[in-house]
Amino acid sequence: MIDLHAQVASKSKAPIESFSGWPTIYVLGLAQALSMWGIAPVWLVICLVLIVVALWLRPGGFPAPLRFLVTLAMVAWFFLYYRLNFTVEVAGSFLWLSATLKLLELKTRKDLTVFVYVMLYVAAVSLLFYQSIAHVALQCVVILLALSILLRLQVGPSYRPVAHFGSLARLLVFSIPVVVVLFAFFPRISPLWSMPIKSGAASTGISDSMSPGDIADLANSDERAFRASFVGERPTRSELYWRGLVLDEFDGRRWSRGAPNKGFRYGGKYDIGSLVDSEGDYYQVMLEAHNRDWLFTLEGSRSLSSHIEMADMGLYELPVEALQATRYRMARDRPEPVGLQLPGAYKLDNVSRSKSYRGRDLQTPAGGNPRTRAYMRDLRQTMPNDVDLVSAVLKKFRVEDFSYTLKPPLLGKHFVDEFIFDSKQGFCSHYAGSMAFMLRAAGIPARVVVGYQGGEYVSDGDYYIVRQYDAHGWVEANLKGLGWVRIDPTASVAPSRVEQNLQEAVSEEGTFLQDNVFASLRHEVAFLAWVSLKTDQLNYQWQKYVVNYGQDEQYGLIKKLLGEYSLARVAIVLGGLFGVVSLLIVGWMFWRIERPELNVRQKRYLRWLSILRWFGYSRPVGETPRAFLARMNGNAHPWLVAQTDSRTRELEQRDYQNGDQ
Amino acid sequence: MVGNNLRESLSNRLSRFLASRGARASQFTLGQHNVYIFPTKAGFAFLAVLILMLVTAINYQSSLIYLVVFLLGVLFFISIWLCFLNLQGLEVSAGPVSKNYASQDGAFNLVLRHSQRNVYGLYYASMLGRSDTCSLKAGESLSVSSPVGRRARGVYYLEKFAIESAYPFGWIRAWTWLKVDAQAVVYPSIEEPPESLEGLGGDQSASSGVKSLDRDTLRSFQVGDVLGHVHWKKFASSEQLVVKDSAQVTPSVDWLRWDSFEGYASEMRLSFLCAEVLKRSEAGSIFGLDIPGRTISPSTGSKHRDSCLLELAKYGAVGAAPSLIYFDASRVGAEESV
Repeated sequence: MIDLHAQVASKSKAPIESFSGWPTIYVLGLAQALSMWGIAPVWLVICLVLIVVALWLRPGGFPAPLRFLVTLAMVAWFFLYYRLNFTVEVAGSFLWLSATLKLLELKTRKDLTVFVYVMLYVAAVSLLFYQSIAHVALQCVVILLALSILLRLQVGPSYRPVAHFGSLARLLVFSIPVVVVLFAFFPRISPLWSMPIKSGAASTGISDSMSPGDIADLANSDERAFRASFVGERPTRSELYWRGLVLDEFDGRRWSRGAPNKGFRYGGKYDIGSLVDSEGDYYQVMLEAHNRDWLFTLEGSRSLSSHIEMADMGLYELPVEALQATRYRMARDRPEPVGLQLPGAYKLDNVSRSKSYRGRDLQTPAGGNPRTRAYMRDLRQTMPNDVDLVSAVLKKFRVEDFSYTLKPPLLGKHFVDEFIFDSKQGFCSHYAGSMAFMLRAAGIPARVVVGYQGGEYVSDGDYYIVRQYDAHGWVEANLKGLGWVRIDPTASVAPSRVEQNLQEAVSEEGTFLQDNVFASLRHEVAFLAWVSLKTDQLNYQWQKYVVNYGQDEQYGLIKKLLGEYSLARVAIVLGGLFGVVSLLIVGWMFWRIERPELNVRQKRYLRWLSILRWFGYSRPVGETPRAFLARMNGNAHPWLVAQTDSRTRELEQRDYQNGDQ
Repeated sequence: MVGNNLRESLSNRLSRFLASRGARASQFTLGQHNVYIFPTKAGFAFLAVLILMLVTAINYQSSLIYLVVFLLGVLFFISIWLCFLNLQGLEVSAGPVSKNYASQDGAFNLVLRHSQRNVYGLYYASMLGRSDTCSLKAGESLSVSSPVGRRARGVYYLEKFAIESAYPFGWIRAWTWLKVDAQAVVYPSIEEPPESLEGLGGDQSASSGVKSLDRDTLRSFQVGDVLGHVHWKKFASSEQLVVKDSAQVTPSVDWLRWDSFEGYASEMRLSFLCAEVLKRSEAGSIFGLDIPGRTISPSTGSKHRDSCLLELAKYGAVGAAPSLIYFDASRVGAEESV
């Protein structure tokens, strides 16, 4: 007997002392800490983990003054740490911090509900930063835990952790097909407003300036920069020059982007129109989040994606920094080799800059590197032809004892002089930087291009992985009679760098991934290499089909499945989904209404009744079988009456026999 | 003021409309026709969180956040059905009529049962409060009681009984208002009549006779014997129902009469009669009741006692109109669950 004497004014303010699911709350807190690792600063993660563990070990909670002190200290530390530097990470971390601090004084059901909702939102925010399968699985656990807390609040003391968690997981699995359809068909729209909050995450990969030795640092990392798959003819490795940035300003030591080069765009979106379903060859790049806005494209590329923009000098950019893996498609025309005239050089189209800045390709610093300047002046006098001059410089690199190394000696103030005439040991940044300066000194417009060269081909998945150690720098020069050409001085010194890879190019030296034990293990141990490639393949598929499913992909899919992209058709699909799901649930509901268990005789009798209905005799609800038989007796065919009679007697006899036993 | 009037008239209309819905019955099965469903405040808050997530997904073009929004959205949609299905098929029926005296706390008794499924997170409420959450196992009956409070004598009917649940996630609330035919009878309070007025024309030996066991003979139990006369000690040792036969002391018929308490107020008379009925019934004597407008012929047994007490409780009621307890349904609606 339960009495209704518990008079509770309002359920939402009801205390939750009787709530028995505290461990779930703490596990949720810890799982969220795991997923915020790397987004929030390390001290914050550690402090919040300690708070959660302390609460777990002390079920009574903290005394009031301590609670106040901890809250104040955490918030103060947070603001001192970040100042007013407002980024997405700060916003997400702050939400997480406040939700976790709420644990210090969870008093009512409402408090707990607010805690769960904030945790759900934090889970969503964390997906802005991590998109791996593992992280998504972790977030699924977080969501399950959060929902189980809500469920437990409703079910109360009769909650059975295992059974209810199981039915929750079943519910989630049941909803997956619906979620998949929604995911595919729910109209994806462009951002409603540009988010004022940017990410403060450190950027990775090549940067927008290059000092001698800069790119050599990247050579120690086997982190993925991007992956690329080709539809149609697959280019050879030596063709893969991924242009990222043009560095056109030289200060005697460092190459960087000149002011007009930075952020200069053609304005508006690059019109991609009907090119979305390109029939010709194209390639697709899955760029890892590098927190920069530049993209890597092959020479002679045209965009097939609506979300990227064309910048000056044949470069492409994103409208915002790539905070997460981003996919784009490009069509491509192969650059033509110059030929015997200048082996190793390729003619480039569409890389010239807008007219007003053309002079910038001849900029040199006011002083410095006197030996190189003098040398080039002399060379120019003997060779008025640009092509001859470039050949002579390349020949110098090839013939003299220049070497390619990841451990070049440190150079002083006149870095080009020291490199060309003294040390003669360098990495691609030395060769590209020096050569661009040499050509400018001889009056030939030239610039350094940085990006990646090559990539590892994964034959199982038919794609290239381009890693940080594939970072490269080369030269583009505007030669009279030829126009812009690509020249790679590194190829003259170490052809294996371009034809094979960095590992081969520095194999004698043994410096490949020398400072990165884990990365080199992954490369040396065959099994680890295999596992790493397989994992990469899985993640690539995941990124390709799920993480990067966007407007363009939706457009393509709907056009393929529905014949035409129109909102009306999408609405029909979504409405149909809604209808089907509702029908399924209603059907399930009626199916679940239990009917009385019938024995064989009863079933046989009911079957006979349905046959009789064909002859026009039906037994109304409430009429006993015997009364029905009596009614039949007068006005039906004797055979029907006899059949009914035998079935009625069978029904009654057996039933009463059973009853007697 | 105008607003107040308007609101009052609207709420009157609403309560009249609700009163006209659904007949009073002793048993209900919950289904589409009597279960209402609407999101709770927590449900609206959850939808707000979902919209915030959706905006985040759109503005950062994050597929995975879209995925989370769709997953939670589908769960919200399914929870509407789960919430309804949780209550669907629940049987609510009136339990035994509760009997109390005017100075005691009374309660309406009801029985909840679901033959096929477990029912979770149930709250039920009536005029005077709401229960803690409780759950019901499939096929098991749950007796619940809803307080009447300390009331004057009379027969009370439960006007409205609410059952609600926000299972599974507290986003959606399903509830029902039922006019369950549960009754609570409140008898007059018991007052011992003054000594001088005892022995209202009856023979006192009836009550004293039972006590002297040695005078009794024992005979086997017959249908109609008063339970109070059963020799329980004997039953415990021999498992034979034996009654102490007081036939030798054949009690004369007692009449409990309204007129015996001349000069007292009618409530007082009812209290005296109540005490007398109890005393006689305990003693197992045969007695009749004679109050204005109603006469019960002499008999004995607990059934007889109850019908006498019921008459005392109903005394003075015009016709058969029972007192109704109004259960204020709008109050339950205002207390949203979170």
